[in-house]
Amino acid sequence: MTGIMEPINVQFTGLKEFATIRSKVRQFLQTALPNNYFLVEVALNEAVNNAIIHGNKQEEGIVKLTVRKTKRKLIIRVKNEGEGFNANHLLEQEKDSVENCFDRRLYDESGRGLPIMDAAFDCMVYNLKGTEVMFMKEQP
Amino acid sequence: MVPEIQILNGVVHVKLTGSIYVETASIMREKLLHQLDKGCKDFVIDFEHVDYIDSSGLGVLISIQKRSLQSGGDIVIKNLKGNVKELFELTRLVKVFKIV
Repeated sequence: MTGIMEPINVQFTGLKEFATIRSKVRQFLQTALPNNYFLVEVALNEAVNNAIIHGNKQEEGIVKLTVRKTKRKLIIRVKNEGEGFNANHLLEQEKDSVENCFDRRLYDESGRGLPIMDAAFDCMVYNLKGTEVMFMKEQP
Repeated sequence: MVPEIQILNGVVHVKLTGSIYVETASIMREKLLHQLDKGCKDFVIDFEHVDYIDSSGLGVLISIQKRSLQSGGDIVIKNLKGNVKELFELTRLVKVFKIV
């Protein structure tokens, strides 16, 4: 990872508004993680899509995104204004299962977002309500 | 990104370009469902110039494949490479699609 960078701290409503920010987010991740930004970018977009589509139910709720890099860590937070869900419990269930999480949903049309997010980061945790997720990736 | 579509000998050839985000995945779904509704059942999807896809695009491919298999057809994915190919491998979708 490169040195400390000016963080991204934005809020938006809906996919159209987020689309105007995506290239800035991509650039940040490419600079922060030049050799392995892709899966992190995918995971970040998964979290934002979930926040807009499932969290705020596509309505005018605000999504807040922060992307911050310290010397040794990349930290991302995505927060929505929705009702929340039992996120940490679902994540625990995924980890407890013997079957590979992607094999389990091989022919499903949805449901890959959470396991992709989990695969991309060293640490992923939701707040109790399930309206905010924090990801962390450490410098090796 | 609007998919380029050509029909050759009854096979729908789809050329995708750039980044397939959730909104472009919706466009892709609409275009491919239209071909299925017209009676087409075989698709070849070219990923040569795709630099990004996420679960929304992957979900569209699964849904189109289900419909085409029901009609006796299938999807072939070609020129998968780099980060996009790695995502297919991570999500085990290399087991689901014919990849050439």
